[in-house]
Amino acid sequence: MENRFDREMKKGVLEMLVLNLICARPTYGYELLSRLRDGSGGSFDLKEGTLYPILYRLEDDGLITASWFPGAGKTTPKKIYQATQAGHRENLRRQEVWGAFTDTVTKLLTGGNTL
Amino acid sequence: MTETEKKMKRYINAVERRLNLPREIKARVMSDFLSAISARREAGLTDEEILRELGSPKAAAAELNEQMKDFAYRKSPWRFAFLALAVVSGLCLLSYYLIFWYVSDSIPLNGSVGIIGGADGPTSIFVATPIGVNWDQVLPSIFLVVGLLGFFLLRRLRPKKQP
Repeated sequence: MENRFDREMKKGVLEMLVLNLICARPTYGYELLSRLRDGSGGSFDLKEGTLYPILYRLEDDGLITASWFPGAGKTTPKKIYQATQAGHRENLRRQEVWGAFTDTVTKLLTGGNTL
Repeated sequence: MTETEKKMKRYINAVERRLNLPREIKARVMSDFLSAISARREAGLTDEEILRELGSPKAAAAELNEQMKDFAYRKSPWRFAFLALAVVSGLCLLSYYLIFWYVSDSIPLNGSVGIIGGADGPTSIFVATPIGVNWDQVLPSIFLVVGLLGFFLLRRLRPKKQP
């Protein structure tokens, strides 16, 4: 069972990762889940429902848009998410924020150890 | 429609029924949920495997409700004030009618003034009431309706916009 700290931390990071994956190429929920799981070596193994609030928030903020894509063969259509211009810009900005943030945190953590 | 298609349709409906979300959010969740099923079908999973992966309708809906909490209806604590109003006015009306029945039953029918024909007690008194609004009944009825309406409306407030 994950504890509260791990969960809260993951939540913020997840939104950044999902936006980044969608910016890389238009995709759908199931594919996002498997890319997160495989890319993280299994430590980001999410349920579909966890993804929805993140996707809706990104969509409501105008960073991504959803459209229907006809399914292959006789399957039903799928909902594909793709990043908007603003989404691509925001993705870059978030990664800068993340880079600066982790640098500071790492510095503080290691600094604290040597003191 | 084949038997498995029917089963999947029943499953989807069962999940949708259990979602406690505003209509447009529900439609959104269901479109993604359907998408999730088609994506799994394309990935080569059978419907049995998909159903097993998604869990029982109850579990799947509970999971979605939990995840979508920020988008769900809010319930205002004020709803209980409205419920109380409805209960009090309901009791008022009830006691009014109980007393009414009791009194009208005990009035001797022979020779009473104001009774038309062989009408029974309550009806004759209704007839004998002066024309105009009987506020004793109308007011509690209005409060009852307002109370119930308020109670149900305050259970389904729009979610707060995320900053």
